[in-house]
Amino acid sequence: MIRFIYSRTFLAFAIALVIVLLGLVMQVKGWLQPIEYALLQAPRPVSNIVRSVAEPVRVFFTTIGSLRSVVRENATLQAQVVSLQQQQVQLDKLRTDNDLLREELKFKGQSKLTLESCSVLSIDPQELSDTMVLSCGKEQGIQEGQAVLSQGYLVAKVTYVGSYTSTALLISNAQSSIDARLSKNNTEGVVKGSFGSGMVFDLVSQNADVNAGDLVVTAGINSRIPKDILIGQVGNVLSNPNDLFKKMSVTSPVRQRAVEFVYVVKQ
Amino acid sequence: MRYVVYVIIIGAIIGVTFGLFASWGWNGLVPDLILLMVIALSLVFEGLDYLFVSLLGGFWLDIVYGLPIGSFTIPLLFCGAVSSLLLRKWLFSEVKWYHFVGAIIAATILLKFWIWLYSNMLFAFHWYAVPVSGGQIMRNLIWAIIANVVLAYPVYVIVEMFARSQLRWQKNKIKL
Repeated sequence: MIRFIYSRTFLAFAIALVIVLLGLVMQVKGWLQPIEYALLQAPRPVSNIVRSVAEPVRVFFTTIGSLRSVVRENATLQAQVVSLQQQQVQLDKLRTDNDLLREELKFKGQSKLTLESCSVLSIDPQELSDTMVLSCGKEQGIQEGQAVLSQGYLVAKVTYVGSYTSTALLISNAQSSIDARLSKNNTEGVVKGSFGSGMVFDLVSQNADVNAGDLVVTAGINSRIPKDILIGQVGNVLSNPNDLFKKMSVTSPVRQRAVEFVYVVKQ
Repeated sequence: MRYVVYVIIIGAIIGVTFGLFASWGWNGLVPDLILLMVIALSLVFEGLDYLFVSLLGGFWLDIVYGLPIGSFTIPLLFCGAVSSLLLRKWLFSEVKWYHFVGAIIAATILLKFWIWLYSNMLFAFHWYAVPVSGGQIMRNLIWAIIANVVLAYPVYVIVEMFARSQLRWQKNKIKL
């Protein structure tokens, strides 16, 4: 054992450990940001090439595997388009009336979200930390707790901000919880992540009127996440009628692990 | 020259892992290619190449995974050193490929357990924002082991071929 302590291997191992500890301290202090940014950017050309080849292959095999459900889904979507077109006409009429009334009553206009566009430098492929590293940080005005959107849907929440990069936790992670409500009747609950890239709408009153397909949006209780940001659609009921609260699955059309660009809501 | 090759290989491995498995990965069925490389190097090479690869590769992985420095680096350093000392020097005079597979299984378990422990420890000291969930690690552990075991032999063979080419290159070095 004593002979081992004086060996070259042990010395190299000890030096490496000291370097790691120094690196950790520097990372916590934020002094590693330029190196982190360079290391995040370096493998991107390779990963972009690989992704551009792998993604069409994945889509091809997924489509073949689910051809029957695609046909069924297509029919449902066509029916939805017709129904939504009718709703759009009604909404246009309501919007015109609403604008006129606001003008009459001198109501303050709707506040608009201030968005910062960021590219996704990396997403944890092993589902360990379920985080994504974004190309914007304090320099761009990003703060911890802010919402990260993709295609208008909430996909993550910023958990760590460096000078040039920030880390966001995917909302499908088991440790994520977002205050939410149903857009149709303001039924409140909490959207939590669950193992296996899913989400659940939990802590909903048993008497609440919730149906599959209802839209779930942010409730706005958290000051950093504005209300009415889309989270997903209600899926199956997961709880029993005897349970204290109702619990339902929530599905989002956004493939969180495939996003390349996102918006951070700065308010 | 060898070290430049290692840097390029590590960058390429990270690029491929994040390009391919971020969209293809299923239930954590993602191989830890750097871990496989470190253990293969520790068994094949006499020098301290595995320490260089574990330090650089681990550091790079910590950053791209958004984890605190040391999450991958420390277990990679430890696994490389232990497999080099135990398998190559102390226990087995001749290393067979199945020794490598055994080392891979043990190293994968140690790596995942360490990531959970380390992130939670740093979270307790307010040095890291979100601790890695133990449940999530356990759920994906078996798939990670399968992915690593499947790729263990091909990686071992590639590293051995690289070692042979290095030897040949050393022997036929042009002397000016």
